[in-house]
Amino acid sequence: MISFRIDRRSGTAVYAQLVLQVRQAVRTGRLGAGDRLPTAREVAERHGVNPNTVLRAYRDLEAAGLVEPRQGSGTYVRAALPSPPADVPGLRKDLAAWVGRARAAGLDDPDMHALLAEAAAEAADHAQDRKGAVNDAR
Amino acid sequence: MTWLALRLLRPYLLVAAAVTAACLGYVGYAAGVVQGGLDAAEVPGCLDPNVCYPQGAALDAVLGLELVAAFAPALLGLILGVGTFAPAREQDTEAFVLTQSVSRRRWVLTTFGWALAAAVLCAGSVAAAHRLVATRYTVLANDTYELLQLLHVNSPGFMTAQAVVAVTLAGLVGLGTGRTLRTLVATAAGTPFAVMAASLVAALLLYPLTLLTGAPEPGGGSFTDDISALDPFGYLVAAVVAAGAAAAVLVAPRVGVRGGR
Amino acid sequence: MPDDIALAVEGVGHHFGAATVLKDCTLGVPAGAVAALVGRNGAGKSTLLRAAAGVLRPYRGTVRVFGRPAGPDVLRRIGFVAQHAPLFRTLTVAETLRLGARLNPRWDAAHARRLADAAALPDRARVGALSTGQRTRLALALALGKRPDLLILDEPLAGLDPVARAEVTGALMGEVAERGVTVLLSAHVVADVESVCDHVVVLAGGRAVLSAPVEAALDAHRLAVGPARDAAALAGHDVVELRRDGAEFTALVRAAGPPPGGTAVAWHRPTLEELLLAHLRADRPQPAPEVSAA
Repeated sequence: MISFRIDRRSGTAVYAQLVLQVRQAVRTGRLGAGDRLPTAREVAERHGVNPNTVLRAYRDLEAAGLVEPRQGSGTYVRAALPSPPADVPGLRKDLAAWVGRARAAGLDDPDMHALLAEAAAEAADHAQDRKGAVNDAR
Repeated sequence: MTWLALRLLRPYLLVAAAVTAACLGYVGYAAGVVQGGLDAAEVPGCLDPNVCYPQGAALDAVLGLELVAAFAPALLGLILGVGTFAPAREQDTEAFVLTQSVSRRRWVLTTFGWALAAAVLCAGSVAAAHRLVATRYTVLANDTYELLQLLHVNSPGFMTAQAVVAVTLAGLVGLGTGRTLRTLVATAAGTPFAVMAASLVAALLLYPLTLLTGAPEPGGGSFTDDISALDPFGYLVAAVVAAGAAAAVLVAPRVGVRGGR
Repeated sequence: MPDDIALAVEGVGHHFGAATVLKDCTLGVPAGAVAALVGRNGAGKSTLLRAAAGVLRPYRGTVRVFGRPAGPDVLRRIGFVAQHAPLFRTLTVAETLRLGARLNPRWDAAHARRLADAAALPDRARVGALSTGQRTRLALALALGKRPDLLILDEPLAGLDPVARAEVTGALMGEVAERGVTVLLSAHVVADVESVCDHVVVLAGGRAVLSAPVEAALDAHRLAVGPARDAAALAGHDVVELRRDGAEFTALVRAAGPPPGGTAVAWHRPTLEELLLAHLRADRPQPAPEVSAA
């Protein structure tokens, strides 16, 4: 079963942390189809967070199609995931190669983080533009 | 609630019981000393100070008896009364009790009730022992300790009433202030005045009552008549104090509800 | 309808001697909420909680618990742990639990025992010999053994070490998950309550200056940060607190519509801590009119 890590100093809302950690666990395969999530009570008791916050996170995950509640027995990772898990090992290999090149070019870790964040933001903008372009074309 | 009230009063009950036992023991011992003097003078049944005024150790024993009768009841009341509410409010265990499905009224009445009952029992025992055992000897030095006599008037009712006054006063002050030390000082200082006030009321009541029932027969000149001379007054004081205490206990649940300290 | 609102405080005023602690204080805690009562030291948090628990009767105003006046009528539905978790120091743990059973008609002995065992409380230890954390957990077990519908806790985490703090919040949140009990707890450390509460009440100057669900409160405020020369952008906004820091200003304002553009002012959604601190700071002691007149 997934064990959450709540960071109270991160500035990220507890509910967002829970959503993110379940997403990551599913993406990286740490959580598989049919695995049960801890109950709201278990999370609340272990981490001292409001159980309503946990339920809210689970509802969001359910809306995203990642998990499904089963009557009386808890919340489970869905058997059929909406999208197949990404090719994590492949991506990691590519990234390792990229990190090698970046090091060789004299970039340190913070530089790389910044670059990655920038690239991710750019990619998001492009995705938005593409969507807009498609809408305009219609 | 009774269990809790008694459990919390336990240390005070133990001290009060010890003081009571010591007083009773002393009364027995001192009576023995005076009787020993009478026996030595070969007048074992003497009741006349002109014939057998106590000497030396016997006079000291009489003084001891007078002191016990004068001060033990109020002391017992002080011991039992200060522990009722002041510490509970000071340590805020009041808040704990009052949120355990126990109404303020029940808490105050039960605690007050048991403290008063214990005070009546303890002070009553000392008073009864004084009247039944000691007065027969103190009468031999009546004139010497006249002032001390005024503090207990040889009346069990009057003596017991002093303990009741002290418990009632301590309970009210404790509920009102929530401070143990303040309660102790105020009770120690206030009890004599409260007893005086009750005596005044009793004295005022006594006059019309004597008119109603007819004046008591003047004493036959016997020294032992002094012992019971003030009994009507003593019991009237007890009645006045009982009425006052009952009224105080009834208003007590309303004291301190504003939570100020 | 009365059961929707666990606690309704209306126009409550109280004073100790010459010191006014609450002044026309009005607030509501919906049933099922975990509400944090936040205020500076001496803001009247304890007085308000004691009034809600029926331990203290305020001079003015009404306090209703599930629609009924606070006091003996609703005592059975309330669990209360006063500041410093007062218990009888001379009783043992076992005696204290027995006391709960004797005094409460709705007592759930098994539940109280479970909570005491979870805290590993030694049965024969005297309460006076327990650590603050243990005593708090025993007091909590007593309060929860009543099976209350409203749990009122006065600074339950003050004076606890980090481990005890986590344990107490865990036990508390477990109870909320299992029973849906409404909780009202006071704190003066904002971080203590951030992950716990979903409703927040800010007490300042004897009044509840904010009483709202956390998310709604955050949505309803904006933190404006910008150069001091652009402070005019705040005109027309309901400013809670404005602070100048050299050439920059930071202001918490009540949000009304989309933020105006065209200036260098950045508008953020505040964090809970920023929101609460701004409200608490906004009520710096100012000479009150009636004080200067006296």
